[in-house]
Amino acid sequence: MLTNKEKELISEIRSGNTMAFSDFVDRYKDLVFTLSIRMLGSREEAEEVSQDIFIKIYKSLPKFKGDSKISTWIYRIAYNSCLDRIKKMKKTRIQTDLGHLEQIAYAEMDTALDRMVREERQELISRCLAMLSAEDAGILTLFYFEEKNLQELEESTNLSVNTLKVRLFRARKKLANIMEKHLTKEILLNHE
Amino acid sequence: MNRREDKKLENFVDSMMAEAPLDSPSFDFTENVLKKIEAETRKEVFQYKPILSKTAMFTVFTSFVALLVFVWLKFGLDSGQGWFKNFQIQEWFQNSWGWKENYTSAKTMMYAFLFFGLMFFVQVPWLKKQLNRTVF
Repeated sequence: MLTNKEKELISEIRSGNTMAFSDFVDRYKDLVFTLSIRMLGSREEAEEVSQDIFIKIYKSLPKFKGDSKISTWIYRIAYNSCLDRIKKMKKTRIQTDLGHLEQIAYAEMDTALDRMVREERQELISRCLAMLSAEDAGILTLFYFEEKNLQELEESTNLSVNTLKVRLFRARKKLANIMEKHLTKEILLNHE
Repeated sequence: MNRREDKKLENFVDSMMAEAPLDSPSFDFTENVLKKIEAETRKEVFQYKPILSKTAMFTVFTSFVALLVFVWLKFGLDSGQGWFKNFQIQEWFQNSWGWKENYTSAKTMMYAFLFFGLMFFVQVPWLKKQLNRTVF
């Protein structure tokens, strides 16, 4: 499961080489931070939680047996830490209803997105992702981080493949719905 | 929603997520993580750990009290009886300060003691400073 480079890096960290851990943090910090910010919705919270996640990883690394991909193991710690933080915060984001999704026009949305400048499009996608619930944003993000591998996503989230399929479908629908609303608003603003 | 619609949705979200940018934490993120780890490791190194556990201390204390109670019940508190009847404690202190009457000290000896005392008090803060620098 682990590459030789990863094995070497882990054994260096286990022997107390802090420079090796610094390399490890640099390699995974963007992925962990992106997951945290999408689930928690706040940069400050995400920064704090991401730091705690890496401290947990450092402490748990001696117990890591290498029976899964190191990234999957990291995502599991990150996902659970974010869920724990959400429980502590006792704050839930506004839920999007799945009402009128039958009429979504994907072709029109694609065209509208294509017309945008890349930076504008990325900003809009980030805004839409921020409007999903923590669980939906987390699962959707991890699904793409894990390169759409449901077995690895199962290991990261501790949810069965069937549950994941249902949740992924709902998350996709919600995201498309949010995007449609945003695009309509943008188009209306541009026509004014 | 039929299968074709599901596929459209999947493709649409795939293309969206492929463009979703990764966020980066603050520039000193790695440094802060390492600082926190270092602080936690130091805390663990200097954490007070008693040589004897609470259970061991309690057992030793209970055994000692039990022994005292046993001695008291067996031999009583009267010093004329039991284990302590042959002790003549007063004899230990007789003439113990007798040597003082004939003692005279040389001036050199007195200066040596004063100098030793002075050196001792100079060394205490100096050593403390040195140790603080090397340990921390």
